[in-house]
Amino acid sequence: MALLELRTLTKQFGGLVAVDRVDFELNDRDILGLIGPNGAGKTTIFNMITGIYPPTAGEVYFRDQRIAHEPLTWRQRLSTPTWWASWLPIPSVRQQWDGLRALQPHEITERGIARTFQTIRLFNNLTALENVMAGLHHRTHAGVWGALFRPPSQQKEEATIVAEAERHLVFMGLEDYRDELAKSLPYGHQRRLEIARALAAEPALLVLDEPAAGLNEQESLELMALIRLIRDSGITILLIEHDMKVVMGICERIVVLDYGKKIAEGTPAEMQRNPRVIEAYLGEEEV
Amino acid sequence: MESLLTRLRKAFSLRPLWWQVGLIVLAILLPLPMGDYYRSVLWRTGLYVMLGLSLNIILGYAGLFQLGHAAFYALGAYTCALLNIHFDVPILLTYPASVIVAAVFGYLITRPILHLRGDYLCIVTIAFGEVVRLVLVNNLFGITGGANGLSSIDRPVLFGMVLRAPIYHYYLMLFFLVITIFAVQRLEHSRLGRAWMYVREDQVAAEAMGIDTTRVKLLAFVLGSGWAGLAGALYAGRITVISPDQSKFLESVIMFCIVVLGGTGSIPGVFVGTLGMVTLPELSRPLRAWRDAWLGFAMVIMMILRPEGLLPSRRVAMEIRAKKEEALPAPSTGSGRAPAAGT
Amino acid sequence: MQFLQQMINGITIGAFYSLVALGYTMVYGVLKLINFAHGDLFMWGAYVGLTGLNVVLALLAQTSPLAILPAVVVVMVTVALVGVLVERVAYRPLRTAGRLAPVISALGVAFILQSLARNIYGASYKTYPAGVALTGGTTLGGARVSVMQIVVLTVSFMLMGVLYLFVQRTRIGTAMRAVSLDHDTSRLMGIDVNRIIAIVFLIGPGLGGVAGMIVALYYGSFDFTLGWVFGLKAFIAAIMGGIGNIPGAMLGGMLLGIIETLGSGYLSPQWKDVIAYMILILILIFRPTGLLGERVAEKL
Repeated sequence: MALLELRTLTKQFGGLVAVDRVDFELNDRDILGLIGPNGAGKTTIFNMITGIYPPTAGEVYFRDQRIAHEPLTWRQRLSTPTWWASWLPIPSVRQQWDGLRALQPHEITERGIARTFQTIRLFNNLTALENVMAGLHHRTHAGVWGALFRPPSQQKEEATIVAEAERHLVFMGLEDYRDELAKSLPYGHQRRLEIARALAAEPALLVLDEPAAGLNEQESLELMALIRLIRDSGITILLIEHDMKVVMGICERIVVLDYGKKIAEGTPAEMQRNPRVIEAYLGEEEV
Repeated sequence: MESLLTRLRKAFSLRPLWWQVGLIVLAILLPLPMGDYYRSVLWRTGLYVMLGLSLNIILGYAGLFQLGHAAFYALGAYTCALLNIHFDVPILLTYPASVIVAAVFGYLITRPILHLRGDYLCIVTIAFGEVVRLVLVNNLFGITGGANGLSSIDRPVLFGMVLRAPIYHYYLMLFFLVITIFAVQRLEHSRLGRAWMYVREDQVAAEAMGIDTTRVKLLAFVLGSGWAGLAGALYAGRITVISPDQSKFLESVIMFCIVVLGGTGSIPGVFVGTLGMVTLPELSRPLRAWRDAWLGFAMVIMMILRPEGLLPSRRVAMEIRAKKEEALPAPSTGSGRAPAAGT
Repeated sequence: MQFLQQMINGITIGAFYSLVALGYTMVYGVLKLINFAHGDLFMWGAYVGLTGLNVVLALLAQTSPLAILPAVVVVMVTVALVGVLVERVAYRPLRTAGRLAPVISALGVAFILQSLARNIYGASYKTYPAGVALTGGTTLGGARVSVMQIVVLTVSFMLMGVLYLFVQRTRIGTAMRAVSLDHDTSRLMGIDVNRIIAIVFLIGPGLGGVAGMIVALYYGSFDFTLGWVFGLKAFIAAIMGGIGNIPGAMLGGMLLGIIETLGSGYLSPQWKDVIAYMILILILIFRPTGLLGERVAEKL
């Protein structure tokens, strides 16, 4: 059973087809690399998987549930009885409607996909610890009542959140920066903090958008070791990366995109020999 | 200057409980040697601190540009007045209703506009504020009294005693203010408070981390609006005359400036902001004609010289210190800044 | 024929909105800032026009509609200079300060301008000297068109046409469009961004000031709150057309003027502002890019 499955996923921005009928699968505990020249549509695919915008056509399945698909038009909505009944608090109707509507990014995270961003998007004015605590938000419950009256259950929950977040900081080797503001961390550490934050959401699938960008040789090596470690702890990894050393070093399979189309898929060794891949990268950095 | 501020801040953080108790005692004793006029000024200061704190939830914590906050203040006042005038409900009992009505309107008005960001949200909230004011002026359903508003509202009665003198109203205000500060502090340091800050810092990242931003933002609006409604009811019980002027844009701007000039997200900042925006102009009656110019001048100068506000919240303060000390390795790029939203 | 009459009145008011909306839209284009002070610059146009007219009339020692011409020049120059000054003092230091600070600063400037007007000219309604505004009119298919309306429309359309050509055809106009797309790249291409922004702050408030004077002439009386209501309406017009889009601002102004006049004619005059605000709210909820704006996906 595939953990993640893309079926003829397509995204059009105006006249530009950014992603064109891309299919691939991701099995449990894979490390799959998504590569391609700039503008090939890699980040667009990530954004569709994580629900930031809906596909123009095609579908994404996660654990055999559809998480992204073409949004319903108003006409389709009006002719769907489930839409009319979607506000009713009936579980079966709700469930049916959840299968039809576009999921919000936070709902996708709840289902087990967490991500990092190409341009680091930390909560800059919050501490490293508070950043990681964000990942635990969707697994905790305290609301207004808990905040105002601090019942024992809420206090216990807060303690758990802090302990868990600290655990993830230690895992990424950031425990010394616990109370530093995210923006004051060195660049490489910011990248790692973003991964720690994503891990705190306890995902089954971790989606990394150029995790090695801007890192030096040493930091890249450390990052590769960490990614392997994360995979060994049972998390599947999908990553976009331009640094070929990283891609070749840790990916078990690679999907190559060019102008929004998938042009090849296979092991790193196969990709290095594939003439279409070489052609796509001609004039780019050496593969 | 800086070291003094730091030292003050340290003193504050040493025994917060003692400071709080001390401040409350001071607040109780403060009006005793004063005349009625100054007691009224104190009351008014308290009123705007409360309004500032309520807006601080929306603007300071969640980072949502609400420029129509006065509408909810007016809605609270009108709820209180209408219940009292038409149904003879005692003023103190109308407070919960005022809170609920303002909160419900906060929900209804902000629900459809939650997806808007930055300037756009600003404009829509201005428009909603004006719509509320115009509806009150136009006397919808013939119950709001038109441009003249409503008058002869009862005074609050507590244990059979009619609260008439300014000092009673001051203590009533103080009572609710202490509750407000307590509640706001607890909200700030909670799971919900953190979620607001995540949304403020970077909405896309917050959403990607599994935070239901719609829900979190709605909660900020509903809580903030409800609290403004309470302030409105307190106003109605003290002044006994209310008019649509309460939802004037100027009022919303004053509240906005209280939060921003004091330091967004900071409770002491709201006090400082209120002193500058309300208390000072109130005391300098001869300068009243120039009050708007003073407000405007303060806004421009503050933004240029000290955009983080006079008493910024802990985080912003930390950030400034980190910048000054430069003990930490600087980030290798100017990275991580979210691209500005908008077209 | 009431409909035709309403349309004519609506288009006239729409022309005012368009002129003011242009200022909002141009500033938003280059600075991504809602210039809350623009409405009050417009209001100052009315006051400067009043002073200018009085001075000109005193010099001429007779009353003639021709006194308007020198007064218009005075208004245009004065308000444009104030606009540039405002940019220089209150906005330029904040160009890199995020989104909140310039908005607050703009509100601050609006308050200062309003307070100055009230303290200098007084809080009461002002009227322009008699005999200056053009009188008379003609009937067109049963609807009355005053000379004033004809003049207003001609002047407005001329100004808008010239502005459109300026932005589309001249080097400075091209530079303006480049700056509105990207400051840094424009700078790399050799454009003096500060100068272009200063020019925008000359043109926008200049047009706004003239509009203020024409509005005062058209309605006869005004006070210091003129800028706030009119400014907000014009801003709605700019949003309707798609903010940052110059033809959009013209179209938006016209539409808003017509809708408002029809609304107050057929529904009720006291609800016309509510109608305008509701339009704004609905547009922002359902099509925040306006009528002529393009949908742009936010880059992540």
